[in-house]
Amino acid sequence: MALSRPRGSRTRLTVLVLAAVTVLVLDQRDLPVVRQVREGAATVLSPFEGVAETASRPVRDVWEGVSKYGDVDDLEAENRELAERVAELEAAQATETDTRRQLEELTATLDLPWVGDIPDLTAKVTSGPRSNFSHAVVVNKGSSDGVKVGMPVVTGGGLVGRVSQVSKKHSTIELITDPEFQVGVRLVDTGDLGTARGQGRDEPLVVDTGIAPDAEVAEGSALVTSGVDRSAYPDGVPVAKVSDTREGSGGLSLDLIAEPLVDPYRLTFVDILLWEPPQ
Amino acid sequence: MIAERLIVLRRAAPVLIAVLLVQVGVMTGLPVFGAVADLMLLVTLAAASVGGPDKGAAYGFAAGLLYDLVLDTPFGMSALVYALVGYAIGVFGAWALQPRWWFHEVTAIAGSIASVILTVAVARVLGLPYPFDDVVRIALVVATWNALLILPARRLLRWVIGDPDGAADRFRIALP
Repeated sequence: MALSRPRGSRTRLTVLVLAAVTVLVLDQRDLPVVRQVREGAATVLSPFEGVAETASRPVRDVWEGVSKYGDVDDLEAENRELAERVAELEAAQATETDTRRQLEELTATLDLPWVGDIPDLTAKVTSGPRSNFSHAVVVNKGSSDGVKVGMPVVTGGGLVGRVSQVSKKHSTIELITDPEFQVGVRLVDTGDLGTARGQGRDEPLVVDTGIAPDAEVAEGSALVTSGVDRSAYPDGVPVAKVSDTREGSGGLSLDLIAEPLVDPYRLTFVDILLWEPPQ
Repeated sequence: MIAERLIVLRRAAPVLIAVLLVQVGVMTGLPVFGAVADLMLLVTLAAASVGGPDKGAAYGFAAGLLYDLVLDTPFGMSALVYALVGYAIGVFGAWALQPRWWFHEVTAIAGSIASVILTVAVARVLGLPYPFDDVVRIALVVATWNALLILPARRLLRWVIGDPDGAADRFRIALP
């Protein structure tokens, strides 16, 4: 009997490929069963995963130390920069108290949900992206803490992503850089609306807008969540700042290139906003 | 025959789950240039190398589907890519009558590069803008890890498949 049996092998391969394509199509149609299977798997695997992670912690720490050893020059430069920054912040601290008081008054007046009274939950990032093509992290809060799919995730800097999967004690956060991620945004300077889409790790967001292609958009302009009717995010959460513009598809509008305000791959803690879009 | 297959299944399932746990619990914390090893692909390549195209495709599909359960990428994408790569590497491996160690290294590197390129291509077909710029960096890291680990992985897969002495490898005979 020979090792390769081309006809039988090809038939089996065809069956497997068709099975995989069927699963892919079901997933693309966003059937709840696929999500339920993934959530079930996450619930079953998370305790074992936690044990593996804890057991390998010393190795991971050593690895992190070794892999960052070559960055000593960068660290020294960063240290100097941080020392200067501390001095600046100390100077600014005096005025901060007054500014904060004013902000609190303003928030109370305008009832801004981003700064206002949305309850939030601080969670620790327990696992980074699980594959080279994944743009999600896992945090240590789950459905038992009140977390639900779709809740926005932020840090003090701005939007990090959204909860895409929840098990009892863990949640998966789809990061803002995920190519499947999109969020309605508003240009703070002009009020123009658009949709920001992730483009992958270390890549800027691309924002489709209805802005005329010959319009001027200042570099550094801030983008916040639009919070329009039934938006998946509360209004006014900082998202990104404009770094460039380009002609949109068809040449009828302007696309904005925007750098996210938060680097979601370097976070230890995040805040999950216990907020659900109005039905 | 059925009894033999059940024995293989009893070994394969815990090994695949254990490898998955090592992948998500350990390897994700050991990035090199921002990319991590892909042990599920390693299992696929080792199965293809030890058992030929049938085993490569079957183990690739199973490993990929299991991996897809814990990823946020489209469900079934890893299963599709690994099944195709496992089959191709199995066919490629069947050309060598008595493969030496370096042949397995070459197939591991080729399979890793093919897998990364195919993943980006499939994602593009699905309308996801996975950047081609990242392919070289990720492929280099994945190929290096797999080249380092392919020989011990082959030993493990020989045990799983039921060919601990490598007889099938030496004499190119089919396995149950």
